[in-house]
Amino acid sequence: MKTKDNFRVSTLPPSFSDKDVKVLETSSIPNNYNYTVSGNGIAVLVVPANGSDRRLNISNVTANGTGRLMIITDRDVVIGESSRGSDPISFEIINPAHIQVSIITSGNITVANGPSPFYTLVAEGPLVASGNLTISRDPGHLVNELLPAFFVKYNPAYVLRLNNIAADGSVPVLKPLFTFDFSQEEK
Amino acid sequence: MTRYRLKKDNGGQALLFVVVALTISTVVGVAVATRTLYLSKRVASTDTYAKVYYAAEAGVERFVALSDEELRNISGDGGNAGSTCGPTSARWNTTGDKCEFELPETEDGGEIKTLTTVDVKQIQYNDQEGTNNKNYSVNVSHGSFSTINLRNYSGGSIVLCWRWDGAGSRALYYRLHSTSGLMSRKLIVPPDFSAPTTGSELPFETGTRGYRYCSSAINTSFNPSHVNVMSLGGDAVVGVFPSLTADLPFQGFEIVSTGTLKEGVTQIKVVKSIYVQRSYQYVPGFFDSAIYVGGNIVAN
Repeated sequence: MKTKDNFRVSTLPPSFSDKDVKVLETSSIPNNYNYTVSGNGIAVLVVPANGSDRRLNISNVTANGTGRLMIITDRDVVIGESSRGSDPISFEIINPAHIQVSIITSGNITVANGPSPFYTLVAEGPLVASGNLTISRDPGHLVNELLPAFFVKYNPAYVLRLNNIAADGSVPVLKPLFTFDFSQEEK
Repeated sequence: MTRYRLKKDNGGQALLFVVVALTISTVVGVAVATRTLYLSKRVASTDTYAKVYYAAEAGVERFVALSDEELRNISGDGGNAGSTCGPTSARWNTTGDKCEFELPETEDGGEIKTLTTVDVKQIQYNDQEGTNNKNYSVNVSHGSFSTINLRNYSGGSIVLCWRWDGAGSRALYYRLHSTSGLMSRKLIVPPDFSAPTTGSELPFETGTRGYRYCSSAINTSFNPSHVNVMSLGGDAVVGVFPSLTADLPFQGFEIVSTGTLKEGVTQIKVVKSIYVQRSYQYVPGFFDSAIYVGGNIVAN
């Protein structure tokens, strides 16, 4: 892994420390990316747009343990293009998601068809987009009769750990991610 | 033919006329001058008032967006004994125990110089009317969460109350968290709320503590970190009351920014204060949703 400074990385690291914040300078999350966040914590990966390159592909991503990675980007995210998903026979609600990251983008999210044959794609939530969420994934009528093409499993670990960071202010660079109540009176 | 020369004694009427005319013109002149001075003073006063108001607003803008830690340090509760003004470029006034600054020429743009003083302190309550009625209240938008800090709260229970203006009714949903996970979540539904009421309703009290409804005491005996509250059916004001045995922990900051005239129109005394209450930072409500989009969800 080439590291330019404390934040910037040109390739995805296999492991993160708790409360790590990294900026990825390339434009892809490799399929079948596997990562670990130590201490069952949370790490943040920022993927900025690179000129006209505003697309970010995310397919199968697996987390080791309960530590989680949150991807924050201003790109249009396309998910599942390399993921076959779960067929109706192997799908169970308790199975791990195919995309074990939370995605927050100021752009759009598109759920794409996978390599044939492809089935239900399961991602972890919260899944947040300022723009549209377009579900273009169509596994065909035989699958569609049984399961949705796209399924989001909410993982409360993200909000829980972020709340701890907001409360103790331990990651100042994440300050813009948080909000506060505000009231004003003039005298 | 005898010619008579007209010789008439008018008894000084012309002089009287001249004197009256001079008096009138003098009175009018003085009135005009006075009015001009008055208008000038009013313009100066309005101008000064505006500058002083901007000075007070500038204090709010500089301080309100600071991090919780920076504001704690400024308030003196963050281990820095309140002797710093953080990254605001204001200076610490040891006499007043406040931060102060002057707006630079480019912002102020005139001979009127203002001084802004900013006082920051942490607050536990923002509604303290009546005995045992002190509470921390938040304006909650329909369908979105606000967060109330409960770290180090030792009271064992809290009471949640809510009120709203206008017709209709509101239900209250809360999620109580510890630092390690979700501890409990409940929907509190008053009888006049028309939506489906199946599920985990809590008992409620009516018309107490200045609110329309209150929950019964909610158990917080497991070291909670925070409680998220959401109003359903419309916007509401939610108040959090501690038990009688303990105080709520700090919830945020009160920032008082005061603009005063430093030099310029010295005969005009103008003071403007802006009081701001700003909660601790918390994770925005959309993190409580599995899917949250600003646009549309489209299937094609």
